[in-house]
Amino acid sequence: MHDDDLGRAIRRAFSRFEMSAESTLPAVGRRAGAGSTRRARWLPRLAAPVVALAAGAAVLAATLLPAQPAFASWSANPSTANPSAVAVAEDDCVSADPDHLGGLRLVGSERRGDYTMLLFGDGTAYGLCLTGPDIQPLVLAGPGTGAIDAGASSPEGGHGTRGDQTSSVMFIAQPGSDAPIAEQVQAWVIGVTPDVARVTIERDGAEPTVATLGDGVAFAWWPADMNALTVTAYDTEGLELQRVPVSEMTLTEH
Amino acid sequence: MQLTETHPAQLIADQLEGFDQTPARAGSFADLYGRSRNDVYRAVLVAVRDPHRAEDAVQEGFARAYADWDRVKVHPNPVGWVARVALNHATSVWRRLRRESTELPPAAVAPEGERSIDPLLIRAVWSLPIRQRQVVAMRILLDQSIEQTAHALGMAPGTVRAHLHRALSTLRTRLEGADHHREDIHHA
Repeated sequence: MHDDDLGRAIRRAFSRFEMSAESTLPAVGRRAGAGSTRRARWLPRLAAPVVALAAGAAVLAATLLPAQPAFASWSANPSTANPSAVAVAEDDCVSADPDHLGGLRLVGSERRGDYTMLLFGDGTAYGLCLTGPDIQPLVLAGPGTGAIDAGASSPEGGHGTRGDQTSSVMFIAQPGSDAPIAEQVQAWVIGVTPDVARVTIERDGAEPTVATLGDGVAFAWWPADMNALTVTAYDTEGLELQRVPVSEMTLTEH
Repeated sequence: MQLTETHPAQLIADQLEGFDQTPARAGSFADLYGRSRNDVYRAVLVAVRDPHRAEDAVQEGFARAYADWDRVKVHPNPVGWVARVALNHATSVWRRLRRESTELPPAAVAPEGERSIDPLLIRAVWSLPIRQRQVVAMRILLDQSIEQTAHALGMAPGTVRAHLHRALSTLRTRLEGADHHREDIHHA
């Protein structure tokens, strides 16, 4: 059956469904307003750190993996994942954890060696998923969930915020995982302002890990065999906008 | 367009407190609603698989379109706009509830004696991964272009093509498998 014929067959099959005759729209005045209020409430909470910093932050210290993948092919410099690989990885990830990723949109992807990392989000919540030839789809999660609620970065007292609002980097959350290999991978999501063109994460004696930028965030992952030391943001001309020692980041455990 | 008391858009408009309900405004909206609500509903149903949830999401989509009509009426793709809002609403509610039934709704089950492939096809579509269902909903049910689908779903056009290709391949395989099964039964 050709694609066109199959498409027609699908439309015909679903033509049996119609909205119920008594269906009417809800009174949206309050509901639409409620949505706006919610957004308005989030914006200053998110904007404060973003405006204050060159790189705001959300961190998913992640972990996992069943076996002992060596990540030998891992690269500090990400490459672009081809659309087919992204589509396959996306299906695998959402199928693996539909509760947490199904409602989020794919906002970024990158390839490091044989591994594809996807970033899902909706502006208020983020989730990461790592796929590769020797691992099951790995959803990197926030505390007890599969998605990080970006609202938790609120300076008013969310997860892992620094005490002062002029801080350069702020953790949104430190993800937890029950996976036995929870310490083999670290993945970070960092909020960035529009003037940030490049973000690197410096680690002990290793080539700096270049993060992937997209949709107001930067994200990266690496085998957790070395500690991250600093996060550095650069502008389009390569000038350093901000360098933040990781040791100055304070996590509030929840 | 002249509205009558029984026009569905008027029923909708009557519920929209606090909004401008001039005939011209409601008329344009009424046209969009009357022309596309079932199309949007079917598309959302493909993605969410629950008639009640789909209906609620479509209502939300049109309600927001009405509330934001000044912007939507000049949007190059108002149907896509409503569908995107409805799909987002459906998935955000679903994510909040953190559950999704793995059982297909009764409507997907073939009535006794029905020979059409429709029930089989509905079941096959609903068995696709959610991203593939979303692409099928936008691309096939609403006839949105690759670019429009990509924009609505926040995907790259290449990703839309990949999802669509996989979805159609899966559906084709399942239909062919069912054909062979029918032939086996027929020849037995």
